[in-house]
Amino acid sequence: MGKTEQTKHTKVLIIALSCFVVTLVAFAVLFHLYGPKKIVEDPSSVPSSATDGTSSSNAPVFAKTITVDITFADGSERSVTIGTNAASLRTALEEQSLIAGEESEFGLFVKTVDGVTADDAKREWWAFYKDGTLLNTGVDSTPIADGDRFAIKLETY
Amino acid sequence: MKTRIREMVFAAFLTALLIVSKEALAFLPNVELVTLLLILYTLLLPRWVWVIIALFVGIEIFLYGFGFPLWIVNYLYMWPLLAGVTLLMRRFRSPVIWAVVAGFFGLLFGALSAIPLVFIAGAASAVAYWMAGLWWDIVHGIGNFALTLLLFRPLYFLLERSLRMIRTGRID
Repeated sequence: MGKTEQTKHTKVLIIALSCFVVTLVAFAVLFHLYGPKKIVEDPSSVPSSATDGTSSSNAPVFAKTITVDITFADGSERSVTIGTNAASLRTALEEQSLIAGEESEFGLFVKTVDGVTADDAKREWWAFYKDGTLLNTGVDSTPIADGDRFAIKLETY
Repeated sequence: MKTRIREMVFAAFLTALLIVSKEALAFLPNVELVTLLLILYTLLLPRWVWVIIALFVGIEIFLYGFGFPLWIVNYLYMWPLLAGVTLLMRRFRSPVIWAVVAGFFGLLFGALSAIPLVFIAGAASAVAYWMAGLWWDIVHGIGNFALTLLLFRPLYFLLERSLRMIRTGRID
């Protein structure tokens, strides 16, 4: 390899390495700014409770009330109103034992809702909506506010 | 035995090596040797690499494809894309260049995987999917870069030597 060729080769290496490092840093910044943020729950908060139409003077006070409309494969629906102090949708639903699934690198992958498990063989999955829009965040990183209304539908892909 | 048949058997062995390497490193999320091996296969066996990719994807679908998950669609274009890019850059033999290529492939894995979601669930969902896994793309990119930088030269030497033996029928 001649000297000129060697210099050219070194230049290519430096440029390639620089591009890689710059992209790596850019991705790290992107993730820091826009990546999902796992919501940390306040351990002192009172566990949530589903409303069943009765009330009691000793009932705990909840900061938020959310409604969850569940639609099953046959089109039947069930609406659950939850009083909660949870910060994330996951905690509020798990306190009611409404969801279960597998832990993944992206958080909980919900497989079961209200006792019904999505059937992989039928290409089913549980889709989460808020105000009619498909959620782009997992249940771990979806915050909840008082009055929120969520829909969970068993859909096929 | 004719050279072509010997190469065919060797290609089957290399496919098995691909599967074994993937399974052996499965306990480490996003750390894999598939990218490096496919780069090497493309450089040394450019005609057979397409058969190897087809076999690899077919076996993966057979093992894990129950319910037609999204990664099947991803595998159909991502590994051929890697082989295509490698073919375009085949004159390079520097481990640093290939470490960068493998690193970029790892970094962009999530973005490339999100492409079908644009058509299924919309651009916003695809971007959200990409962002959700961006940390693991960074791990993938660094892992690919490091493994390729370390192993490109010794594996290239081993593969080239094995191929020479297979083609000439002589053990050096």
